Amino acid sequence: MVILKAAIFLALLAGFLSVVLVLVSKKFAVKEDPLVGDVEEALPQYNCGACGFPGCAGFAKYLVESRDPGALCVPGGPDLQKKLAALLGMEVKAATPTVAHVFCKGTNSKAKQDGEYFGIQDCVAADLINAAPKSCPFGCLGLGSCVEACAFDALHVVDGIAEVIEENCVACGACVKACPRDLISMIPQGPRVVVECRSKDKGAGVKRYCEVGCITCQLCVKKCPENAIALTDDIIVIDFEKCTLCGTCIEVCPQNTILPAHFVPEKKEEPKEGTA
Amino acid sequence: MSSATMGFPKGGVHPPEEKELSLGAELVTVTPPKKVIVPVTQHLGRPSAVVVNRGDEVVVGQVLAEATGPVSAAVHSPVSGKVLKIADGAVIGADRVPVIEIMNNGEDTGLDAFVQKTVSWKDKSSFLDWIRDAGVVGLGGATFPTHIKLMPPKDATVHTLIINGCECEPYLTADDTLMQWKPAEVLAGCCIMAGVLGISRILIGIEDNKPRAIEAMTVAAREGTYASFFDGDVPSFDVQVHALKTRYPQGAEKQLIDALIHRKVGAGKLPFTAGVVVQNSGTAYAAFEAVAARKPLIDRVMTVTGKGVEKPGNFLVRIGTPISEVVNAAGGAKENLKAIIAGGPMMGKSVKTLELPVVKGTSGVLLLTGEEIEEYRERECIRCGRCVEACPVNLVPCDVAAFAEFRQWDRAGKAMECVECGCCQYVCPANRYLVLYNRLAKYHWRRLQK
Repeated sequence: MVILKAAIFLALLAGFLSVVLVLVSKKFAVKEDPLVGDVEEALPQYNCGACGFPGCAGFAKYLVESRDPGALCVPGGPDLQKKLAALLGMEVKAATPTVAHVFCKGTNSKAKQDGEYFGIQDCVAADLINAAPKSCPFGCLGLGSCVEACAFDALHVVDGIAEVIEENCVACGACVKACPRDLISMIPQGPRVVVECRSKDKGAGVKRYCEVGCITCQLCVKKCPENAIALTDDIIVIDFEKCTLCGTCIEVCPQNTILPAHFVPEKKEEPKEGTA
Repeated sequence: MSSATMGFPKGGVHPPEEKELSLGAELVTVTPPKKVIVPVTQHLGRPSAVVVNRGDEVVVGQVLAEATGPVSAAVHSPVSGKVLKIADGAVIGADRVPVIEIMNNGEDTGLDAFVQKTVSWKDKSSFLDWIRDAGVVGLGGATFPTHIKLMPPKDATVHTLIINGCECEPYLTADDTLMQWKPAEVLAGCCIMAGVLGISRILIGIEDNKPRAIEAMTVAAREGTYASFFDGDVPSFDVQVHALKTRYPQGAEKQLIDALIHRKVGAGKLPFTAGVVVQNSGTAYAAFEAVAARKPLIDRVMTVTGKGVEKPGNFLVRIGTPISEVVNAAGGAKENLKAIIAGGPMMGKSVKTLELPVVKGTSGVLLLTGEEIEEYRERECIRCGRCVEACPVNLVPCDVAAFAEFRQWDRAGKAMECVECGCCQYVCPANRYLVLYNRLAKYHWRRLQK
């Protein structure tokens, strides 16, 4: 009998409380735009922070509320832009597919080292106390602050310099922020020609410490048929939009600083001299 | 003189002093080199602006770079000769800063203009301008422009000038030597600065491991020899020389204030809040020269020491002289040289080459052999708490390091109070790089605040 009483009492209590719960949930229901959920699902769910929000949920909420046409999820790529445009019914800017690139090829064998650093294995720390093992004050420190910042395993330190594994890179830009020497930038995907050095030193200085450093001789600037190369702020920069991948600069560069990526430049016939 | 046990209450360490290496030898004047490299900015604050051009002929004491604002300092030519180039060069602690290279013609044209004269106290109102125009900065190492410290905010009441003669870093003996060599001049410099501040109380703190400096300064203060540099209505000064406990970092501003007048200056606060102004003894001498001879800051006393140098000692060096020249004057480096440190062993910077110029803030250079340095790698923190005991500013260094190691920058804000004295790292049995972790935390904390 006792057990029956208890069971009935509990059943009634449960029934009562469930009614209360239902009423409360109706009364205090938070109205959320169902779109937010849909948009969040469409996002890549990397929570990488490239958009400036802590995660995809925050970005989805912002996007739905503000309908900001400037808001951009770079890692999502052009596919996502289309999806979002369909969901939100608005023009969404298409991101040019980019990829991170480390502008230094001064590997341990090519760049001179004049010290030993055994402090905290972090580029920022080594740079703070001016204790980088490499002589070059602009080159990659190779201690892997960008590797640590990358959530997608798209960076590795190989032979003293960081290298990007492009298949893994989602262009979130975390490594760009992490590099204390501003050596990483986002550049367009696909075939391209890149000046692999950001030293602001003059030629003689660069020659002292690096075999593949840019000596700013500006031969490439003069020889480029498209005028796509310029000396900007002491660094040689190639305008990717103007570049036609003709490969002239690659050939004239005396330091082999200018390198092709994702394509093989056509070998031009060397004009023969003095053979007649 | 008061009891010899005055000191700051908490923390600190007492490393081997190693001061006898460079003490005792005469102060040697280093011949100005063929070429000097003068960094444009040698102070804390806004960078100076270059006012000479390539190819210009300059004379000793000519302004090379002008101050660009109140918190800035002028830089003067240490030699006479021709400006070779104005380019980027390496200095202690930075790879690329603007420097002015001057080819010395060896004639020292213009040096005769800086003759020491009797200072008329009637010119008191000009003292501050003269100190500013001479480009005097704090010579203890922080290189904060001196004239700014001598202009306390209007609402602050300053009652005491504290002169820092502690030189608490091991190895270094530059201030010690200066106080023995020119005690009256140093004291006269103190009086000049006290005059600028309009106060009469001067406290000089010297660690008790420098008995000769204490003796020299006490005698000079008692006998009033400094008065002979002045004429006119010189007010009387209440000069007291105090021997302080030898304990690093006794010469840190806030620790020194605590030891001498038992006032605490909170984190992020300036000494004005405790009614004091603190100046280094070397700065006092520079201020004296600026006023008595109208001589700009073109040379300084520095120590070259360590077991890696033949004849350690103290040297009067023109600013811009390559460190290698000073080392040559000290008999050259030994073959078993292992490390070069600019500054003292606790806070100095490790440098890769001797071809860097001496700047206003270079108090010394250590050339160390394998015998004197220990190479180590850090191990895991064992939570022993010795760093907490050693920290003079009441931080928990191991915690800041842990936050830094695991990238929790938002929790590492306490690092901003760190003075980077290095006591924690000195006592750490696990050889943790605590100072570097603190610096890293500061860097990221500042970025977070933006």
